[in-house]
Amino acid sequence: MITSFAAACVEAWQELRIHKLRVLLSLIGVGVAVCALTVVVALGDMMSQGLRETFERESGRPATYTMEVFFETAASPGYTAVRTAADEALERSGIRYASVNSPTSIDDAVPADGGIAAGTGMESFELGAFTQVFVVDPDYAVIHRQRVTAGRWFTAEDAQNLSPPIVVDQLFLDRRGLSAAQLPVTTELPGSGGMTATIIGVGPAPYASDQPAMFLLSQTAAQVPELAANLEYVSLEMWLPEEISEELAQQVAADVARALPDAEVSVWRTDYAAWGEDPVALGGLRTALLGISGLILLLGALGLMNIALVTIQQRIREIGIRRSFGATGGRIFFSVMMESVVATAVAGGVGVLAAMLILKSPRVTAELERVVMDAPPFPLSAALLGLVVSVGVGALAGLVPAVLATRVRIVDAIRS
Amino acid sequence: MSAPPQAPDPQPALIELQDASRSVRLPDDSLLTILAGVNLTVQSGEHIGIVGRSGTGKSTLLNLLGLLDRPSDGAMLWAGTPVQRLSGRAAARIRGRDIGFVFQQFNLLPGRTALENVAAPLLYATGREFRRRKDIAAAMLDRLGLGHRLDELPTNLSGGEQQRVAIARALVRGPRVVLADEPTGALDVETGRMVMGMLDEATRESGSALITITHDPAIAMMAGRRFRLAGGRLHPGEAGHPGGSLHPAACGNAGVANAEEGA
Ligand SMILES: Nc1ncnc2c1ncn2[C@@H]1O[C@H](COP(=O)(O)OP(=O)(O)OP(=O)(O)O)[C@@H](O)[C@H]1O
Ligand SMILES: [Mg+2]
Repeated sequence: MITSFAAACVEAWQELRIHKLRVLLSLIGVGVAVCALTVVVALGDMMSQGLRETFERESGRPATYTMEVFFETAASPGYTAVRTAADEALERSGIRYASVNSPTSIDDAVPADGGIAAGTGMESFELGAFTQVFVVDPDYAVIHRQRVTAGRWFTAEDAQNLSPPIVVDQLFLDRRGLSAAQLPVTTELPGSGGMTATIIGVGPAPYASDQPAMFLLSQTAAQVPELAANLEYVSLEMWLPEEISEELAQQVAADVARALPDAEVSVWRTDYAAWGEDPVALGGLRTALLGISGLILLLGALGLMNIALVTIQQRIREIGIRRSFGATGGRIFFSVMMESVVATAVAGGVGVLAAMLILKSPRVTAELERVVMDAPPFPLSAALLGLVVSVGVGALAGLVPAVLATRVRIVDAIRS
Repeated sequence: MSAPPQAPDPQPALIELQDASRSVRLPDDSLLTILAGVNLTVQSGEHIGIVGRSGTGKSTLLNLLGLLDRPSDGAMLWAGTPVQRLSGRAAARIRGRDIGFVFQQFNLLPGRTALENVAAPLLYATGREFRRRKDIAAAMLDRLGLGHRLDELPTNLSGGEQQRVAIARALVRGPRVVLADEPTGALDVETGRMVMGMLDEATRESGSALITITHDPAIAMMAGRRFRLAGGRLHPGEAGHPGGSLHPAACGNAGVANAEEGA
């Protein structure tokens, strides 16, 4: 059995060596089709993966709930009191991840006589120069997949620091003439009127924007008058297990309402998955693209079968000769099939490689990053699909010639 | 090998044709009888020569003997086993192991070197024969005086050399019988006799039976037993013409005359 397989491989290899042109033709046809198919599938995967991550960065991972606590009629007992009540409720319900999420922006056009680096601070005087401020807690990084590219994200201990820690984006650094290599570095806290903050990390902003962005802890914000106003209206995000998220969210809200009888408490789901079935599925577009590449593949397979059929006609005599020295019908079938499969597997491998190169090329990556924040890696599943499909096409295209080859009457083959 | 009940003989003949006939259905649905009642017994190691005019069914007979075809009537036994009982697989195995073919048009595999051609039958063997196929093939080519042309493609070889490669390929698995269908038909007389001499000698050395179809009486004379195919039947060859090889024309004419008689 193993001998037969090895022998069939030897035969297939000799056959392919002799028909180099034929191999090249099948390489091109099938390779192009497999490449197209792989690109479509991989691009679809990368798009939905990228979109999903983008959505998660913006609105939180499923299931993220937002609880708002505000005081309409009575006076607010202050952020710290509200937060204490909320933390107790969270603790009771066993919720591990929660974070304030209060985005705001600060007019940065303050006199740049503070800690702003000389020379570069000029831009701060321009009209409409704002800094986006994201008031958060350490768990924000978990809920929103927030990353840092240099330095580090907040820890629970950071709230005690005398110099308030901040995490900023690259633009923020650039505006101040700072670089990530200098971390940690102190700077004036925007909007604080002269307070000094320590930049501990650099990471991308939650939304693409041409304004610099800065994250700071809610405890820090509570001490800065201009930012504290933003916390009168406490907006707290909770990351909950999807199956029981609704019950948990309602339970926490009810607990907080009990602890703060004057407060208005509301809670609702805010992650992207709450918007509908699966907003990142590319649906119709993907189906159409798959259909098109399936068609290309079919044409490739037909071309391949055509070439194989033509050469089978030329090879009938050869098949007869082989049968005269002992090849069984099964072996002839297997040999013809193997040739087809070996050729398309090679072609498919090249096609998949080409697809990888295309999707990793700077131009495509740049296009992708206009839609999603970071282009995800090439999906392995698409590469595997490309290979499986190419072997399948080889088997399919080899089937008809292989059946024909075994049907040949030896006597006719030799006399022809 | 156990003797089947049909052959009480402990050592059955290698091949036996008993009143075997072969007919084909033509496109116009009429039946063309090519062979009509052929009787022939081939013993191990014997050399047989068959002559006959073109179109008398010599190739058809050889295809029957080589298990490439089956008689439409009558019986054929391979080593005592009726061929009707052999499956396609079993027939293929016997062809590979016990039968070697040499054709008029050489029938080498195009694009493969001499060595690859001779090694090709060993791709259907197992064990040592398969693993050492290159060495075995090289040794066989060497025996036929082609040890220096192993990597040559058929298109670069002369007719005589190509036929020697074909003979090496037929002999490479040590068959019990070699079937040669006009092996010298595409060669000039000199080369033909040289090549035929090599085939004759190699089969004698290995103890293989040899059945040769030929137009050349001199070549037919090399065989121990001779037949003439005419009218769909085998006729024992006349032992006369001891100097046949010196007068091929006379001998050929006699063959034609006999064939006309038989028809
Ligand atoms: N499958 C077939 N269909 C129709 N006719 C056939 C078939 N096989 C053989 N014949 C005919 O039977 C006759 C004998 O054929 P065969 O090839 O055996 O002759 P041959 O003696 O080998 O002739 P040559 O010396 O020319 O090779 C020829 O007339 C041939 O046309
Ligand atoms: Mg013939």
